[in-house]
Amino acid sequence: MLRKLIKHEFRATARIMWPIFGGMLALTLLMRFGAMLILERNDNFFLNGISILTVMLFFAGLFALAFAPLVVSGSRFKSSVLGNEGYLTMTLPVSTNQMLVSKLITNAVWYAATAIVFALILAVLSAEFVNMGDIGEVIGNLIRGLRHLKGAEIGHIALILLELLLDAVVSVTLGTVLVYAAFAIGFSANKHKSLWTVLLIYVFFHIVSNAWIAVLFFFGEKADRWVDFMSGAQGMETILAAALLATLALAAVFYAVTHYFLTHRLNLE
Amino acid sequence: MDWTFRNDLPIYTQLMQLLSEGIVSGVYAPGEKLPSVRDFALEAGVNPNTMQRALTDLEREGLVFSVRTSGRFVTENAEMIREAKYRMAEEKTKEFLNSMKKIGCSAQEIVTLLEQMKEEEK
Amino acid sequence: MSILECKALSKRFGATQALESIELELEGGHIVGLLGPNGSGKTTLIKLCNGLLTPTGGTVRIDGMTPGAGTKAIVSYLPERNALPEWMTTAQAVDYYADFFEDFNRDRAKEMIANLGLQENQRIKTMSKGTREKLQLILTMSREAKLYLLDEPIGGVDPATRDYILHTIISNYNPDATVIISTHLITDVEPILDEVIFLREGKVVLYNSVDNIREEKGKSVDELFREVFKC
Repeated sequence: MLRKLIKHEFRATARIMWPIFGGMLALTLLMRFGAMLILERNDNFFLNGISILTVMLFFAGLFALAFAPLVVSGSRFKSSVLGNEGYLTMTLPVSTNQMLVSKLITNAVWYAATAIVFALILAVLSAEFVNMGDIGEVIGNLIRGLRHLKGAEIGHIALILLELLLDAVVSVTLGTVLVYAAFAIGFSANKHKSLWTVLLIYVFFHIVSNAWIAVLFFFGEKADRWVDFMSGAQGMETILAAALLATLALAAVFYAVTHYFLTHRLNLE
Repeated sequence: MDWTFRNDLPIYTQLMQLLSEGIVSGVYAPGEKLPSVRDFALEAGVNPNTMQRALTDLEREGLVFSVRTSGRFVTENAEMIREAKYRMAEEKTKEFLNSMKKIGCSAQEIVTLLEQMKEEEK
Repeated sequence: MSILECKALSKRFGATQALESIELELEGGHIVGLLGPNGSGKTTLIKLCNGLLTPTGGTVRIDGMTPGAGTKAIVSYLPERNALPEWMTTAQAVDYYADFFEDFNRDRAKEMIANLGLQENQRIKTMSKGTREKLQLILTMSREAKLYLLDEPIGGVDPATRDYILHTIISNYNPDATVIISTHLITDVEPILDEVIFLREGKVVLYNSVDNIREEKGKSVDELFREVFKC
């Protein structure tokens, strides 16, 4: 069942994500030509105007692209679970957990795809100015730098990279499940559903960011004692692991809230 | 078969009436195989349980019999069909005479009316 | 094992008691009318049966199970609204149902789509309201479920389609399955019902067979309804 849910979730969201990706890549190509025009110092007002517009559009597009997975995921949650489609989605022979997990997995994959698209955009833009050899050198230096951390070996580096990956996945999941919780609670109300949802997103976001600040403060205070432990691969691993656990805990709370409101407080009109 | 039903009588009794009429008038010939409960219910536009009840009651009366795995059949007992026809004819005649009494027709007037209609039919 | 069993089933929304202490036991093989004025709790009862709502008191059991993934696999629900994603085509909607519901009968769906003149490649977005309703009905009735919950199935369609729908309900009849039809159009539906439930202000005021009602009261269910719920 989970596989089927994921398949259909992709089918429903791909319709929107692919065009966004395609559009951004097209815009990037446009941007390249626009940038070239600026660099050539054209005195033509019209051409300059267009190229500036293209650049503005491009950066607006980048911004939109960064938020696309979250917005698409939230919008899809609202329509497929809390709107008229909910009458079908919530009567499928699946558990609420399966339904939520399928959406979160799909969401994480789209984030990864977005990251790849960003990398591609970067590649397209810098293709003229940077060559592949330079990039190789940069990556090599990075790895050598990691090696110089106290006690670093291949095993540690692999672990750190793995933790970074998991941190990324759990972080985006936290963002998404936070939005889901806000929607689930907001739409359980009889009136002003959207208002409540927006309010809750704002509140939840602040809770999470304040929680992070509190954690950083906590670690900052203990810095003296831990300074030796902090440097070095082990320190890095511990920090990343702690961050991972904290994010996971927060995500779990929002997930539990979402699950409760969907199973016990569903309010389809 | 005209499947029209009244509102104040249970549908299964009306079905029994309609099916009995069909059998005594020969619409459903003696020994003929009747449709399955579901098909019959579909034809009549009624709930299959209701049709089943009507058919079971007809079975009890002997106008219909069922053979396991083969379905239901109209009885081949001509005597039984004749008797049923007579009973129904008696009922209908009683009703007819009652309604004639309500408008004050005498026995003679009824006979004259019947003979007149018989002439017209020729 | 009854198909549907409600014991002291209650549902409260804030200050409103939508359903109060409902006691019901429905066996398989019946076509039951769920009748009552607006706000009497019909939709609430249906939603409690298909898991869209959870009780605030008492229990509801479908084939012995509490509503969840297991019961949803044997309950086929036709909502009053269009719940199908607008971007799907008829064919895609059929595939969707076939994918998630093991008891979905593709051949039956295909036959009904042909009979009702639906186009396989038409997007739901471009369909008229009547056509969408037909599609939803086809999908719901193509499942070989144990409990069918039909919320106003004939309200928005023309008389010919209405007849076809009632015809389909009869021909799908299965002694192990029960159909619950919630409707206002009692006269049209009465011939195919064998039992009816009257709901008033969240309480069951009557649960009887259509035959009994006609025999005991000498009037049709529709007439009795008008009497019971006179304004």
